[in-house]
Amino acid sequence: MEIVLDAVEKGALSVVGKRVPRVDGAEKATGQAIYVDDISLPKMLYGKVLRSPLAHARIKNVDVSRALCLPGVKVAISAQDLPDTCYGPFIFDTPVLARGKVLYVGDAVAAVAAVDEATALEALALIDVEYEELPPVFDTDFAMDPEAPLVHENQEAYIKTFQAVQKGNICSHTTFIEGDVEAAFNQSDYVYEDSFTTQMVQQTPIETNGTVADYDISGRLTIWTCTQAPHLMQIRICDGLHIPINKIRVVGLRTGGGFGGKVEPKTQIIAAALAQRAGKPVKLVLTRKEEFTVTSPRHSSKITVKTGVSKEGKILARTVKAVFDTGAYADDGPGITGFGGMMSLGPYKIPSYRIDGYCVYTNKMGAGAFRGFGNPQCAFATESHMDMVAERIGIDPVEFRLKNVLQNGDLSVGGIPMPSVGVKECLEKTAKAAGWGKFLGKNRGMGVACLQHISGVLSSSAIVRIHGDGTATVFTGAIDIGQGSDTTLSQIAAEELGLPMEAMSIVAADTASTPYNWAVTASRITRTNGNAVRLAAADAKRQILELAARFLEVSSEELEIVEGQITVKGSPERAMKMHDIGGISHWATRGPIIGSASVMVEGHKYDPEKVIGFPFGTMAGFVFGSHIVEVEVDEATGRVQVVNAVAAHDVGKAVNPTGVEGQIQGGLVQGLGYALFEEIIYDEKGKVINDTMLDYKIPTALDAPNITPLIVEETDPGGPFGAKGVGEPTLVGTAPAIANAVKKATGVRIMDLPLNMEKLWREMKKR
Amino acid sequence: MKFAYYKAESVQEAMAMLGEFGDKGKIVAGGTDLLVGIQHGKYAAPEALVDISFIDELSQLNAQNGDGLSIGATVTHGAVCKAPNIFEKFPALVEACSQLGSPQVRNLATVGGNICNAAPSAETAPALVVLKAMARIAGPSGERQIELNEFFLGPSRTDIKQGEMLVNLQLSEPAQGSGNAYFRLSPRNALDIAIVNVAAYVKLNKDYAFEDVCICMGAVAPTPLRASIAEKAMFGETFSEKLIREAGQLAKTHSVPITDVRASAEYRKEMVAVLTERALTKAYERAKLNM
Amino acid sequence: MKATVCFSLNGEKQVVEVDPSRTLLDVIRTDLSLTGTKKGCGDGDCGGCTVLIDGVPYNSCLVLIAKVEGKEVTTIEGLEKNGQMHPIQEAFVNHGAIQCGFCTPGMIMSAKYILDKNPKPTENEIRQGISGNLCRCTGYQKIVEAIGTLAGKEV
Repeated sequence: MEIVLDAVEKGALSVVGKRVPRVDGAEKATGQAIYVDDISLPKMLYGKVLRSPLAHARIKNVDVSRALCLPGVKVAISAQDLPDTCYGPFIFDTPVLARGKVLYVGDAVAAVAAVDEATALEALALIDVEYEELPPVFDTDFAMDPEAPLVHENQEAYIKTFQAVQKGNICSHTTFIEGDVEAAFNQSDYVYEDSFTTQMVQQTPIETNGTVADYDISGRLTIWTCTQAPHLMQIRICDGLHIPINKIRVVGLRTGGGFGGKVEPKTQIIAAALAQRAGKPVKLVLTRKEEFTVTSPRHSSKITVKTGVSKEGKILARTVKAVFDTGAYADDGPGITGFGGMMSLGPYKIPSYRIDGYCVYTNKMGAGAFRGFGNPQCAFATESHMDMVAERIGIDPVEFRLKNVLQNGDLSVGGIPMPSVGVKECLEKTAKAAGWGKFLGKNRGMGVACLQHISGVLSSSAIVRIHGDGTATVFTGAIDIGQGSDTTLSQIAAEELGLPMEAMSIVAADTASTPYNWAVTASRITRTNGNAVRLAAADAKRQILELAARFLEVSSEELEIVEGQITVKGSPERAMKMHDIGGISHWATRGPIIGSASVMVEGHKYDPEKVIGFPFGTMAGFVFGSHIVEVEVDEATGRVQVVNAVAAHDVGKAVNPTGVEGQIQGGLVQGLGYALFEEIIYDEKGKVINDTMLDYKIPTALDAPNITPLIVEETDPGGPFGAKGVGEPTLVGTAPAIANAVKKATGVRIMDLPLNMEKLWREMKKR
Repeated sequence: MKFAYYKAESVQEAMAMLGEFGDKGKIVAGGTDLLVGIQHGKYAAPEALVDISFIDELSQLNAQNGDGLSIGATVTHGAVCKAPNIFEKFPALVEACSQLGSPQVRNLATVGGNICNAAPSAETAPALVVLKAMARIAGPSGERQIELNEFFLGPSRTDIKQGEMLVNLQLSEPAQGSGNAYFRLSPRNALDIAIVNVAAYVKLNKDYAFEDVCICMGAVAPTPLRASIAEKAMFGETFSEKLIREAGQLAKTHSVPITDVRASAEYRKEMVAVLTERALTKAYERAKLNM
Repeated sequence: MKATVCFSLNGEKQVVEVDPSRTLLDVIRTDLSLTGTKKGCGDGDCGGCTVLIDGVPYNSCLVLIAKVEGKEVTTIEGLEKNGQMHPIQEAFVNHGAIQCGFCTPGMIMSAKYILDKNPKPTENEIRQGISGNLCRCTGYQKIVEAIGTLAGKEV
């Protein structure tokens, strides 16, 4: 959406674009910040969840009566104590506690609340569950076989938020079509097809999921929790427990990392159900083992890419078939499959394509959103494939990409216009900074990958209040999970109001006091919520100037706010202090100033012949990036060390450059773990066998390279001060860049993640 | 996790407590392995823990000139890394201690505990074996000594019998013309566990021929394993890349690893060869500097 | 079974009577309400619960409470003085070394030890020193840089 505001961009920005220290920095540095496990309420009980030991079984009976007899146990519940209903973001397939069947090892079957954790654990052992084991489905190839057992036996009956194309265990099939693909392949001088797989990886925030829930005599439920989406959580709790939204207050606390894993409910609804029955607060915090085995990991995938190119290196056609293993519950899977497919052309202009994404149920934990939303998988496949094609036709990988990159005004998959496309500049900047083409020596290699992503979907709202002393507070539903939104949204409001940062404060992520925001996802907060905040600030500013105009005896158009002073343009001596306006509005005339705004990323009308089964109506704010990494490979062991990395991201306008750099560096290192060592491993019974932080390996400070972050600013006309997002894309380019670098260093192409040392060693042996 | 806890003030007192609790008691020093093992059900929760980390005698680390190295049972990995003068003569030990876990874990975890837990991948075991450590063990009927090479009986099983405890590890002064080194392979550069680890000790005679060779491999057998065939093959020979490669191959043939979540048996075998070559080469280089 | 444990916590004498099978982390968070020290895993694999005992970093989730008898324990709450952040805390805030903040208290305790031991650490020494503190957000670089800005300064 276009925002027509005072052309503040033209003048020098005084707060936006500055390296403002995070507003939550001091409380976090001193240990004063309150996270969910730091909360302790009077008479609080401790919740624990009984989980299925089987991957697929019918529940014949659940009996909690023995658990209830244990002294200290206050509540014990199973599905029969809850409304017969399901919830979910796209497909309502998820019960609060398993109903009828368990669908994976770890599925929640029953829950207890007791006076302490030890008693709660003891109570779990007293719950009797009778199962009838069913044949499990662990692999998507098998799951897509018509003969395979059905994970969900009646998926047609589920409520869906979109026109889902479903069949057997396929819960969603998304297709994008453009042009005559077969004809375009026929016109191509070369056609290449390659297949890739990616592994399941877990979010691994350092803080595990948790909730404290309290339910009062008036039927009001309060949820203190680590979350990426307080308002979304209200909806899920309403769907799961049939409590009206206006009776549910969700307070998003300081949240110790999200990455996607704290969007959908993990502990909130179960804790609420326990508190509802206990009449006392209940704390439910997942153990690290639970965090590994029952929270939403990134989908594993199987992706086949076929590309047709001309002799000159122009890409003419592409087909992509991507199969995503969504596990026991669809969660965000349909969206992820569709969006991953949408991203699978990469940031390149490809005239003809057909993309098919399949989201498939299996008996593993339900996969969900995790930094990149399907894009990491598809980018690994397509950007590896880009290098393979470049090598086959004898063009340098950077040059091949430059020949095909998107430009301002090109259309995305599905036909959405992209007014701000900075991919070329990103690629050129990274190539220059990394010294692309320089001699590296034995066992070293440099690899590149480019990427695109989006930064705007759905709706947000914001309020800006001007206080009696002339200071201001932003009220936002967006939660700062570490990405820095409290700071950047304050900066955006300060800039619009003409106030210094010191005059700003922010209240965030409490559904009782802050206006609706869909969720901290989709790299959307700076752009989508930023727009709401900027418009709310502009609304407040308009009111300020109208009031000041009465006292300064000019029209409000003749006024401006500079460093907290309202002055007549061109006559700075004719001024009022913000303090005076605040005071007057509270105590003398007009009433307090409140600015507010609601925004929606308006829907794009897809051609129903070309876009089929895609769950998103709205998408905007396309972002771009380029990663170049240098690796050193130990020839004898296959061990890869990333020794250097350069990453450029087109963020439209860096509201806070330090924050942008932190996103780039952090996302890149998460991508390094994805590329090299992270992998959730299941045994043949469907049980995760590496459920500790020792055996599930995220990078340490000694595994992370020095990273040069480069900021590219291709102004987004639809973003606040031209800004767009950066959260997710920073991960997306890393894995393919590493795989491409390893190929250069060793001659070996790894097409299956992770690129761990044993795998690389095996492939090198075949050379 | 619930148990009674007793602090022993002396070895005698610890012995008395162990005698009293029998198989319901367990010694704890750093506790880094034991507490996690109890939490995850790897170890049955003992009724009583006897904490020996307050016994002064056991926390002594002595590297007296010319008199070898004495490592008390509760000396931490961190203490070994930080002590001056140890790396010069016992680099394999310091290389092992400095790679265990993380700085915080090293400050708590004891070398004695690492040995007594007897994990097949124990970080310090190969280094201590090649340095020919003697374990001094106290028991109800007095003290006894055993070569560390004989100490390991299987995963989590050692020669220490009920009622006994490790008192210290004694390393003799490395001979002139000798060198030692330790290598491990793990995916991460910290907070990790060895997929394979190998320590080597070599002694050269005046003609630079190998006069004594000791190679110990970890994580490739139920216990740390001496690559004795490779050792014998090197005896009397002089250094060459070919010889080192052969030694690596012999070590590989000797190893009997399993496949688990961390690596396949096949990969472990190949990596034994690689790390053996690296450890021998490094030990040889150090030996030459010590002629 | 209860044990009486006397120790100094952030410079103040503490006497607690607790079950000795409990950990230092549990006691300081639950009984002493110092919640700045975080539990990330409980296994000593993440460093979130790092505190200093006699100036040296430990995972407090692995330290039995009785082990701190007579020792000086410093937690993140012990660094600020008179409402002023410690220079390390200031450096973390000013150099973008904090994102979600959950690893931050443990990370800062490791940083304190690095600088106490070696006032001019190299980049590699800093990375070694924080290698037992996992961070999932920052990619570590701004943490390394923040600590690096204090090299050679009085902290």
